Amino acid sequence: MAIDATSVTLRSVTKSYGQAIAVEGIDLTINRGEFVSMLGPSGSGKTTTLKMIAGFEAPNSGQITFDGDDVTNVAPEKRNIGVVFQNYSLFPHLTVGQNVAFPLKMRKVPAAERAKRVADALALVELAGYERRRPDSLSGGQQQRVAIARALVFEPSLLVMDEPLGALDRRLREVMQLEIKALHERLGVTVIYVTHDQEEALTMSDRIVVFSQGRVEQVGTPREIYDEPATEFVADFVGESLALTAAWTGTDVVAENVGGLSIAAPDLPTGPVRVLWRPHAISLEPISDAHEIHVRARVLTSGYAGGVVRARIALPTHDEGIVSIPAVGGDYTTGASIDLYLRADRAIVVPTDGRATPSDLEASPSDMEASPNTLEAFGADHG
Amino acid sequence: MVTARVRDGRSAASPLLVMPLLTLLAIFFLIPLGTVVVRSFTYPADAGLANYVRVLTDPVSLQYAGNTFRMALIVTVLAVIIGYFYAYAMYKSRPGWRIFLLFAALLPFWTSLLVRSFAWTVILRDTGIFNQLLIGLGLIDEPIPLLRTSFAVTVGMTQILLPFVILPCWAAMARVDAGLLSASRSLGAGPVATFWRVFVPLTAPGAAAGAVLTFILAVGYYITPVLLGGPADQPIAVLIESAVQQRGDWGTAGALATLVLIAVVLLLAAGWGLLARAFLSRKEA
Repeated sequence: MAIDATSVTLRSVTKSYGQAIAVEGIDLTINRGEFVSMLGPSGSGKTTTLKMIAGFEAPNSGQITFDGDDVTNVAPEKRNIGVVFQNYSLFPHLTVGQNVAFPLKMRKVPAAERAKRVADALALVELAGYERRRPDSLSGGQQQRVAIARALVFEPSLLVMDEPLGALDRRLREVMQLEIKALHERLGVTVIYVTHDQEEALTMSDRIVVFSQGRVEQVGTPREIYDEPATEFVADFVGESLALTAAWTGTDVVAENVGGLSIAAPDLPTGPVRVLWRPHAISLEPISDAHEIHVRARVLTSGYAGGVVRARIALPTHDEGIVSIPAVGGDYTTGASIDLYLRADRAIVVPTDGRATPSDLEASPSDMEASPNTLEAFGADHG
Repeated sequence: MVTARVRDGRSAASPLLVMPLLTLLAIFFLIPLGTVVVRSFTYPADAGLANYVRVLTDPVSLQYAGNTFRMALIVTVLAVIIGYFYAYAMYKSRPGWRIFLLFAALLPFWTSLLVRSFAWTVILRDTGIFNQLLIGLGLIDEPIPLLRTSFAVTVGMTQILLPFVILPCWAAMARVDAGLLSASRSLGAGPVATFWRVFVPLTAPGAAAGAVLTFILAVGYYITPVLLGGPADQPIAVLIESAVQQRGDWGTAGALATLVLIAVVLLLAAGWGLLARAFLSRKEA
């Protein structure tokens, strides 16, 4: 397949349904051949943005361009975009082969060439020879592969995927993530991938756009989003962390009952802040050559979670958090004390946004390897 | 085609649950039907196939049968076309309008068939609303004779039978996954191609169900063609009625009824076969 990838630009795109504003003032540039994930909780505007890019919805204001051409009001069938939907959206009245041939028929591709390209597209998703099968006789993973073949067979310049793996079980999802990534690398098509699964976004993307409440919260590479979250929301939504409520005085970051944290001065106006540590920056024992902040936490509740003990802890700053502690270290019953050593050079400082924590929305269990000195933690923001 | 969700938990109990209904059907439907069929061979006692031979060679009954099936076919085609697009208008409407359209379609259902048929005579007769309107507009000088014509029967029966098409069509449309229509558009099909290649095939089973219902009902129609039609529009039901009511000839009536039943079953089987071939085994892409 020869795909001529397109770039996509959104300029102050706004969409509202009656009184409800779905997205507000979205500015975004997606480069040619890039794999960009739109990440956010449900209702954050990521799917609405995708629908406007695909042409299913028209923005109330703003402009969308492909390679500089204004497509804001162009009908979806004229945009040359492959769309993959969460529930596959295969035509139940057509066979697999007819489904994949559908976009070619619409483009009046001659029958002989059509058959060849259908076979090629099915081979691409490892379903060669499935032409005569009915979609409902295939498994969920196979159906989604057919949907991907159908979305790619006409060599679109942009592939848009709306939570394509949402309906699949975890194991299959991980396999498909790698398959989609491999397809992207092979074909070079621009991909816009909507998901609410932060792990999926981190694994697959060149860049991630984090959405919250109809706005873009942060755009960055997975590493930037994880290591340098711009806001409390991004820090909470992407990855796990332990957070302290603190205040930035202009000279020092001070937390209640802990005192000055002696961490690098944040580039923020003075005021209330949150200081976060990712699991790899938290230890149970001091490491001699690193400057660490020692806090003593108290276990509120705990439970064995297979190799680790998952404990809700109270911090001296009156924050609460959840940590996963390697189970070899003790049983960490209610009331027990845990000493935590937080690496000062890995501290992430974000302004307090005063919004509800997204951790209730996104409580995916972590499969991270836990070494005896490392804690897995994700913040439970009660500050 | 249409996804049917089978609830396994209920299947074990269902044969028992339908027993009362089956009993009722047996007593009030199957036994009378059986009696009709039996009498077509045994009335008079030595009839055998004589009733059938007489009916099938009688030009009058053949002509009436022709009237019946011709009219049923015309009405079915018209009702399916009009009813499908009526349901589509409901599908496309905002919820408020949709309820109004549904109500408008169902309203005639709640009045008796006789009243509805008489209503059409009021509209279509020489001094009726239709002719008055045309005369009032100066389009015609003399009333057009509409009553006692095939036109009147067609219009009346189509209108009366429309809900039987609208409801199954609407039910099929309401189940259509809007995502499939979006998918079609994204794959390069414009609104018209999406309608014909995706929406219509997905909702065709609803239309087919409506067609079957309409056809069966139309074949058995009696009051409406008698009230609205002329001599050339009289249905076979008239012959059956006169055989029973005027001559007490249960044999002829039974033979006619049995033949109509057989013809309907055969036509339906042929119709289903055509539909199945049209939608299940299309030419490979």
